[in-house]
Amino acid sequence: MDAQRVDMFMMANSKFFESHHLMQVRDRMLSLDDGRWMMVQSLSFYDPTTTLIVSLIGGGLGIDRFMIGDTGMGIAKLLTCGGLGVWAIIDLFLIMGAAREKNLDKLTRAII
Amino acid sequence: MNPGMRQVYFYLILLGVAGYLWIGWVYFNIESNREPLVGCLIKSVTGLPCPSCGTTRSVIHLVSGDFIGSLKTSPLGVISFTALLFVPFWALWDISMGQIGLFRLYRKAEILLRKPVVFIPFIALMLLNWVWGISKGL
Repeated sequence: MDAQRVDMFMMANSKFFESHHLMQVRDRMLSLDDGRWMMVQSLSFYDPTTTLIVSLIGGGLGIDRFMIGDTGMGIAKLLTCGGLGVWAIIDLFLIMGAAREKNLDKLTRAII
Repeated sequence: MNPGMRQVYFYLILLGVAGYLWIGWVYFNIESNREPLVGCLIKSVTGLPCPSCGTTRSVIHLVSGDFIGSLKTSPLGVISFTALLFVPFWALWDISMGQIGLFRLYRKAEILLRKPVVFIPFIALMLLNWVWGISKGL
């Protein structure tokens, strides 16, 4: 794909990925053919900031995990009252990273 | 085993260990007639039980052999107890034998739970259990 387009995508979406994944994402996008551009553009990513807000409010019930598609973890969190509150607090720090990992998964699955 | 799988196994084993430690501690507290412990952050802050409050008490009932009492406290305890009995050991077995049976089941369950036919009744049941929990003052 055209480098200019890829850089445009990277600028608009860099906050959705871990910083150490950015180069990997860029390389993958560069090796993609132009026909996939619309599909990549139309992907919607989980916003890490929104998940953090949801984690603050509904973390004890596992809503943050459900939101990023981690249904199994969400249920485990829901059934244990947010891991007796401990997991809910730890997740405040982990959830943004988890959302970014999920975004990379989503992009990888879309462009394979 | 890829990083995603390793993370799932790590969480499952950690949850299992934490579950056994918690149940053990609460059981020890009951045996030695100390103040009952409240593990739920939501209940300690708001005073109202959360949707899964009562699970520990339910598991304690089960451990003491009182199945009906356990169901009356919270049906979720039966599910948690069954999960606690099998999941951590299955996870350890998978890791030691290099298999991924538990991970496959976990993924299947996740995919199943994303279907509206499954998750809407699930949420409805959780809400019903919550209302029941509040009404009986868990």
